[in-house]
Amino acid sequence: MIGLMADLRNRLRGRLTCAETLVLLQQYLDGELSAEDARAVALHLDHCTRCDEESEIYREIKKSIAATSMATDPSVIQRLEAFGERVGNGEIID
Amino acid sequence: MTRPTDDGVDTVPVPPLPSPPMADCEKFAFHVQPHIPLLYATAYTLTRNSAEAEDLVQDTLLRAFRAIERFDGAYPKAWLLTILRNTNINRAQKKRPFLFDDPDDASADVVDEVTPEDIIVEPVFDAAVQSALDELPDPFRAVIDLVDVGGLSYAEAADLLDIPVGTVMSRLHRGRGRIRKRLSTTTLSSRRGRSSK
Repeated sequence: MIGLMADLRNRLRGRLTCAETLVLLQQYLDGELSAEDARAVALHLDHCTRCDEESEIYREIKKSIAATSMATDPSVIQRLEAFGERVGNGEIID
Repeated sequence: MTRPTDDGVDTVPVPPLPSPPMADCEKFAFHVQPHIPLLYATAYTLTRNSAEAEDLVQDTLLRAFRAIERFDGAYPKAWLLTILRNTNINRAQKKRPFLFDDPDDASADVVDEVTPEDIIVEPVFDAAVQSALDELPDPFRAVIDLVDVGGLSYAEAADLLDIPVGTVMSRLHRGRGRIRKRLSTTTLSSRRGRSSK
C-alpha cells in the first residue's frame, strides 16, 4: 500500500516510479542512458531513500568488482608490455 | 645528408638509407600499447585462465602490428577488441567449444536464500561480492567483467561477445541482481561503515 501511494505521488509529480527506476538503474550506473533518462532517474533517487540505497549498493558492487578483479599480477602486464614493445619495434613478427 | 669527398668537401649526396617503418612503430606505440592492460583484462574474461589470456594477448598484439599499416587511427579500442575477439575465435575453433546452460533462462535466477548462518560467517563486502561473482555462470560473469573491469560500453561488449546489446543488458541486470541477493544485511552494513570513514 505504501509502495502504491509512493508510485501515485511520483506519477502525479511527473517522476519515475520505483519499478521504472529499478529497470533503468543498471544502465544509469553504467552511463548508458540518454541525458534525459539519466536526469529522470537522478530525480527519482533524490526523492526516494529506498531506491537511492539500492543505487548505492549496486554502485559499491561495481566498484568492488573492478577493484578486486583488477588485482592482476603486475608481472603479467609488465611481460605483455615488454612483448608489445618488441613487437612494435619489429623484433618479433610471428 | 652528404658525405665527404676525397678532398674533404661535403658535396656528394648520400642516398638515404631505407627508412624503417617508423610510422607503423609509432602508430603501434600510440594506439596499441596503452591498451595492453585492457586487452589482458578482456582476454582473461574470455578465457578464465591467465596463461591462455597472456597467449591470446600476444597473438592479438602480433596481429595488430601486422594490420597497423591499414589502421586509420579511429577507435583503437574497438579495433583492438575486434582483433582480440577474432583471434580468440580462431583459437577456440581448435579446441572443444564451451558448453553452457542457457544463460538467458530466467528460471536459473532462483538463488538460495541467505541463511542466518551465512550472515554470521559472512566475510567483508569485497569477499562476499567476489564469492557471489565466482558463482555466476560464465556468460553473466563475462559481461560484468567486460563492463565493470574492462570499462567497455554495452555496444562494445555485445560486439566482442557477438550477442545483442539487449542480451548484454539483461545479463548485467540479472547477474548483478544475483550478487545483490547474496549480500546479507551484515555485509552491507560493514561496507557502509567502511565507506563512511
